[in-house]
Amino acid sequence: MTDERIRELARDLEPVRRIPRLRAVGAGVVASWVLVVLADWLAGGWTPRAASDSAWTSPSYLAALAGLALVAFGATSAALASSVPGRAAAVRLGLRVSALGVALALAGWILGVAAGGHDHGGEDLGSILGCATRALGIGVIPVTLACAFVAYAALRRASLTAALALAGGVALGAAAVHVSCPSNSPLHQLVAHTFAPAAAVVLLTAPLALLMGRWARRG
Amino acid sequence: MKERQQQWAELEQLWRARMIAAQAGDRAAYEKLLQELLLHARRRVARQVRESAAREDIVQNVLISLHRARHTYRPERPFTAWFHAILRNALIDWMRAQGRRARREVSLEAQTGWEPSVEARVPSDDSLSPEMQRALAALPATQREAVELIHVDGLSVADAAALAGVSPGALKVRAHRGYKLLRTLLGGSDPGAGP
Repeated sequence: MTDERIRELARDLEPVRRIPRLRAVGAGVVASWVLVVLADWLAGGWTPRAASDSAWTSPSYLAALAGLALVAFGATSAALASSVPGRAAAVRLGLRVSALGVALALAGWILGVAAGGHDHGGEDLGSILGCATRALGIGVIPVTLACAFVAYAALRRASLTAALALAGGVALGAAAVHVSCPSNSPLHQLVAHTFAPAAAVVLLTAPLALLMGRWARRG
Repeated sequence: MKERQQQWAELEQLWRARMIAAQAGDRAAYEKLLQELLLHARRRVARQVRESAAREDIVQNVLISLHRARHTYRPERPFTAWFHAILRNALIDWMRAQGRRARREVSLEAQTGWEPSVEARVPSDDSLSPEMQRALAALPATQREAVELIHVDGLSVADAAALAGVSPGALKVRAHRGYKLLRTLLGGSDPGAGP
């Protein structure tokens, strides 16, 4: 029975194109994010804070930015590695880096609240939704690239992988928004920037996992 | 143990070469590779699953998963770690399916001995004395697994960690604790000694 299966698999064998290195895929994801931000900038949509802006010397602002960067790196790495057998160590590392990023971002918010003296601009629902939606918009292409790779490789747990890809890609978008958003309110930064990846995970994991499952079956 | 590690190193090279050839479409190399991996998979699965019918299902799933995921192997990565991850995933999938069906409780911790009828080129634990096998059976499951993978099978720490699904550091700690306990159980004699 099993011998027959082996002969069957051997008969079915066709040359395959190997998956690219994970580093190359990761670099592609980051490059796509840079291109999106650049295009947005050239179109006049995205404008970074001025170099003289006081936020660049604020520990809470920088901690939130570093936290988002770590979540982007860690979650995207974990999503990519989870679809390649034998890369469990990279998945674990990615998850740890992401957890560190979340802790750092939350620490940034606590620092911001503790420092006081900030303005309250941007705490209305419209501003919060605007920034969160922008983060999602900027993250769409990186998320799509990561998911396409995962579906082409060896997708195993679609929901977990989709959640990680979403968290990573939208964290990239949120980092870009964090750099350009004029609001210095810690509450705005927490809800509209830091929580944007979490909101994307909650709202979009299920449909994305379904989509990835379909891609994987077609591949 | 060094001899086994040497055997594993040779198998690693052989399997890697065959997998690279298989990725290029070499059917003969692929068939040989699958035949050899089949023996190894049967042993690994037999160690962890009691039901003989289920074992063959799992082994077939391993082969099918390997076939589907063959494009994910990259030559610069160790082949055995890649294969062991597929093997482990197949075992986990089977356990989850079992859990869902709730037919009976079978866990990775419910272990049997080696199947003596299976002949393979992969290293086996034929050299273990009955006393040693009894002492191994008395270890906690996670420590037993670590000791078997590293000290009995002679796998590298990286491969053993891939198969156990833990970090290399965690596996080393488990193996160290298991080895200490084995020494105690065997009354201070060398656990590596054969019959």
